[in-house]
Amino acid sequence: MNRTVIGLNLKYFFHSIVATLLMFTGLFLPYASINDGRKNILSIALSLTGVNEKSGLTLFMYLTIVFTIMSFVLCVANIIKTTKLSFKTWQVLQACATAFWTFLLFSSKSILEGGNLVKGFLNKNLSIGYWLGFVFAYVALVFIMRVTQTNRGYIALTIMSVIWVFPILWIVLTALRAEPGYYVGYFFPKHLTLDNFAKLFAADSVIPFAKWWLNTFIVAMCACVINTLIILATSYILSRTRFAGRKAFMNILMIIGLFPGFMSLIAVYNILKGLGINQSLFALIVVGAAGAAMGYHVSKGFFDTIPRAIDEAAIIDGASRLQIFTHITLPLSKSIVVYQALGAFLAAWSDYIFPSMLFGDKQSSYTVAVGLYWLTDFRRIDAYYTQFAAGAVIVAIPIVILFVWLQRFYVEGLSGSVKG
Amino acid sequence: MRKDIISKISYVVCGAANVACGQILKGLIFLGIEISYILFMILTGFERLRGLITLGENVQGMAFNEELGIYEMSAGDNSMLILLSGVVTVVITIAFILFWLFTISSGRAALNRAKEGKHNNNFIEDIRSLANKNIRFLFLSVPVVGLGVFTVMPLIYMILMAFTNYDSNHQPPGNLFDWVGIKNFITLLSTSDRLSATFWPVLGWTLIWGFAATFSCYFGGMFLAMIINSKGIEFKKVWRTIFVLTMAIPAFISLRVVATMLGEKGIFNVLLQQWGFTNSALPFLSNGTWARFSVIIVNFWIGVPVTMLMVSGILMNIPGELYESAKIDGASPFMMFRKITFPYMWFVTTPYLISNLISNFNNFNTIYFLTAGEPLTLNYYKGAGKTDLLVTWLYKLTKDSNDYNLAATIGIIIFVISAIFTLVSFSRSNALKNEEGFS
Amino acid sequence: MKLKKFGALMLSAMMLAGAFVGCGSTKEEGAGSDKQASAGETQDVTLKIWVPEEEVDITDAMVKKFDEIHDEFNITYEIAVVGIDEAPANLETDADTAADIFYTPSGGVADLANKGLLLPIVKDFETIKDELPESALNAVTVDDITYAVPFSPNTFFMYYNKDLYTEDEVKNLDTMMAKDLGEGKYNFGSKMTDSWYTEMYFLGNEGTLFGEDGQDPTDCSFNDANGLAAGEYLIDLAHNPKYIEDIDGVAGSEFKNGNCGAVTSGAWSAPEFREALGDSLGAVALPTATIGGKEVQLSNFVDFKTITVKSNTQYPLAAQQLAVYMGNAENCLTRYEKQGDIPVLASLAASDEIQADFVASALNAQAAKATNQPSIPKMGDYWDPMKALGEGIYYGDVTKANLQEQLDALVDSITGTLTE
Repeated sequence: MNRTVIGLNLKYFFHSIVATLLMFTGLFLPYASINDGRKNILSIALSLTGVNEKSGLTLFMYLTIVFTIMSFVLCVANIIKTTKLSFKTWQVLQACATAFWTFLLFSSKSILEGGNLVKGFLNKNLSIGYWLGFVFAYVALVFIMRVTQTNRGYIALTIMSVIWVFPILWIVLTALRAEPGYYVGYFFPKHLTLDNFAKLFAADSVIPFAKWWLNTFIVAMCACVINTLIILATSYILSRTRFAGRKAFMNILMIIGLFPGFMSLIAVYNILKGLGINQSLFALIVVGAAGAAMGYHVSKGFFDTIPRAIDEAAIIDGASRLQIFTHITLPLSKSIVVYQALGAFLAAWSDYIFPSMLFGDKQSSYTVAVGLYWLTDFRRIDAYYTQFAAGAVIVAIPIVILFVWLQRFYVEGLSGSVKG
Repeated sequence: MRKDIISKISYVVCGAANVACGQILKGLIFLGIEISYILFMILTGFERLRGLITLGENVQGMAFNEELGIYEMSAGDNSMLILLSGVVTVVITIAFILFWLFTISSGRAALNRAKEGKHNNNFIEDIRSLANKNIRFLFLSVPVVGLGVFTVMPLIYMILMAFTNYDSNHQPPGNLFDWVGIKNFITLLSTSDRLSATFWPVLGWTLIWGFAATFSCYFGGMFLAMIINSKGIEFKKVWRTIFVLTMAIPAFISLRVVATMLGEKGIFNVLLQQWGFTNSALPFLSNGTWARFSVIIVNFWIGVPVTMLMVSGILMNIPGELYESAKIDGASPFMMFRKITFPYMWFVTTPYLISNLISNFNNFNTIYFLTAGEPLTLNYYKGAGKTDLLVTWLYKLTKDSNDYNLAATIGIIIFVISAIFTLVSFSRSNALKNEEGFS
Repeated sequence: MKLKKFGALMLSAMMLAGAFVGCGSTKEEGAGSDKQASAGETQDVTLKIWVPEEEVDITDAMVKKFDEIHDEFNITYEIAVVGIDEAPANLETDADTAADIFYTPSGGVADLANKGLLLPIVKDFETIKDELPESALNAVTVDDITYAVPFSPNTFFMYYNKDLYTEDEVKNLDTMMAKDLGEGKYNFGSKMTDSWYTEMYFLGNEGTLFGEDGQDPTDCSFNDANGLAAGEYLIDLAHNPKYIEDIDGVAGSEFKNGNCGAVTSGAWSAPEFREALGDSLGAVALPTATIGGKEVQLSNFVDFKTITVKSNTQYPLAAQQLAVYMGNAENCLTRYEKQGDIPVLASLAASDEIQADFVASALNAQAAKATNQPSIPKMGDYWDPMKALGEGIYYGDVTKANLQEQLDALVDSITGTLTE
């Protein structure tokens, strides 16, 4: 096959065909060991069409067969006449087939048991036909993507996204769940509601959530600005200037980071009390800012990569160190500024241990973290679990917004940075 | 001759030399600080230093008031506060001594310059130099003061606690505690089989956890970032946002939720059974070995997006020409990763890795909120748990037994071990040594 | 140079800090030095009270009424929400900002008293003293001085579903477990992985913790022959498929759905259980069990919810009078009616209203069979090792083969100290 088609890398054409054929063969080999011997997926699907009460997931099985056959058809079509368009179509169909082969892994039990074909099914009962189809669906997809010169990263990204989003989805669904309770034996709520959110902000609620949210927002905004400035200033000095005691200072920072911090919390509290700012939001900001410098590593590493020649040139032009920092280094380091700001915001937003001790009985100063944790006490968790999840969703919103918004700067900052 | 006298006077009267050389305002500020220190010491400082030696003398008293028919308490000394305020005074004194040395050398320099006929900066010029030559004073002053007050002082306080008998029988404010020297260290190190039978396994797990947690997230995040940033991936922003959702929910909430999801009747077990992967609940968090894998995997889930974000930034900084020329030489993608991407990444991120490793050794939050150290086991003393790190174990010791002195002692031992470990492994690392730039 | 200038900077800030900490620690307002009003004069009193969130309203009414009765006080008060479990820790963090009057579990009274944080209760206490059972008095007395006003016993007992068990069957746990309740139903739910529940088998089978009187920190008999029998009984129970472990309220949910015959829980579960089961709900003391060949009564810990006054209150007279007032018959009745806290006072416990309440009778019946929870500080070392044993048994790490060894380790962990 020494054809060439523009936009296609036909080196892997043959591989794609073989893999697709193998997947197709999976349809005819035994799918699973069922009471009376082994049947292939086609005969199972046929026998299921006759059953009246069957699982809704049976559709997955039909679609698997349909897409596998269609992918095979496109494979044949491409052998006869290879065009970019038909290859792209093949790729889409193969992607669908792959997805449904994967879904079958999770739904075979429901389908087979729903159709009363088998009892007590486990996935280890699946046979060669299924595994052949499943594995070669992926193999075929990879080769087709190589031919169409599509990035194979999409497959990994899709699988990883599903895994990463799964727990988040669970929290969101719990927040929307009308049935209360901690443990429910199903994933999708039976009834959806927005009550859990409404209850958090209701006037007669036991939890002044709006107030807590505002407290947290104030603290996080202050921390975002102050901590970022402190970290950047510290790492700039440690990266760009040389002075006696610099190494010692860096070592001291590293060493004090090693001590278990919770043991000195009581001392911190008493110092704050001595300063007269215990139980206040201000104290939270002050303590956060005081420890910020210890996180200088990342931005120092970043500043280290900016060539010193730029600084030297600016000094010759008569710029002061401060001007170099504000006019040259910072604009070159937008990404790290955003990184630190985001990190500082996040840390303040979700800090729990210190605030929980600092505020004591002063509930009006609570942050959402302390407040939400209070809901997870074992006597309350069953009653408040859905509200707790709703709170978690509301807490997450500003961070998502912040990230979607800042990502632009992030990328701009990166592409604008100095090359090597 | 005159110079000699002035410089001698300035040993006692801070700033005298500066005043003599025309730096009047600077000299007066020096003097002002000296006077306020002396006043502070006379008013309360010496009293506090004395308290540091005695740690309080008056025990809280309780007497029956016949007239009113009630007990009345008379407040005694609170050893804990006395110790803390003593520490504050000592730190202030050390700071003053450093300041005093600084005024002397500043004065001497001014005199020398005057003698050689050079110009001495006036006050405004001094201020200006803060933006240029002395920018470190401007930039580091806030962090240094902050660390001093809220990190170093509490730390010294904690260390000193290890040398007292602040245990369950000597709790303020009802009781006083006192210095006992290194008795706690001796009892712990010489007599306690119980401690060492638990200490070493817990330390072992702490090390495994630290490395596994750090490097799994590091390589996972790098892998993810490289996929998202590779050519031909559309909607990079959307992909990144998906993964960042994990970061958007405060860690302790997602940890609590994931802990319930992993429970015996949690959603994972429910679904795995519905999907036909197993027919009995898997002991994700209740079996020691399973739980250790679970915490590492959950930490992976939480940690990868963080690394992904950071690595995305660095990836774009790698000079594109390097890849171009490698491509012309016919290097495979893997070769390019090994020869270009990874070395660069390693160089830039070694400091990050070190700090991350340290914070994972001390990762109180993840363990505390996810498993609280469970499953507990009687093979460890006081039922410490299979996923307990040294810090969470220490926390339990303080909370259950109120033996603050022993906890502080163990804290110091832990610190010494982790400090030695960190310094040995990383003091010779390239990135720390070679800061002058990647070449 | 460098370090020295830092020194200068630190100095100025720390002098400020130091001066303030000084104020904090040297400010020794001799507690109890309040100017007592001479006869006929009205004294201005400011009090802070901590109660759980459900009791804010009734406490408010109580304080108002107290103020009316006592002409000699003119009370300004503040009520903050702090739960009974959280109060001791908050008091230890900062006794100055802590409430004057707060709830404490009797198990924590001795510990707080040893730390010098509690004020003895004397004034007016004789008005209710005679009505308190000896066990309640013992729980709040340290060195012959009373430190708290007990108002409600706190222990767990057994709820059962009358549709599944008869009154006779719930007298013995083995009879209960032997009954076949049908497919998918559990016979008994408890929580052996929680050390507040696990002790009932050991204490029931003549075990002792910290000696007969709960005062001897070196004694625990859980590893003798009786303890071994109790441990074996627990192992059998854990492996019985009809037993359900109440992790995160699972057994409670099954019980509410009618799928579990009986569960162990406390008075706090009564409202939700009543709502779910209606007239089918029954409550009794814990059953007997055949452990090591003899029938023994299961016996658990009982402690009491108490009202306490902090030692450094500015108004010791008013505070302890109010504390006693809050624990008197009238207010205990209010608390019972509004909150379901079953009163400990003899006159109320014997009243018709409470006799008619089967939950209250079950609690009182169990309290009589229970063992006072030791209140020595060493009790802090009991919880984790016992939990480790319970988890080990439930998850199968502790078997009959290694039980003796594990019980020895348990006792060593409970009674030992690190410095021996």
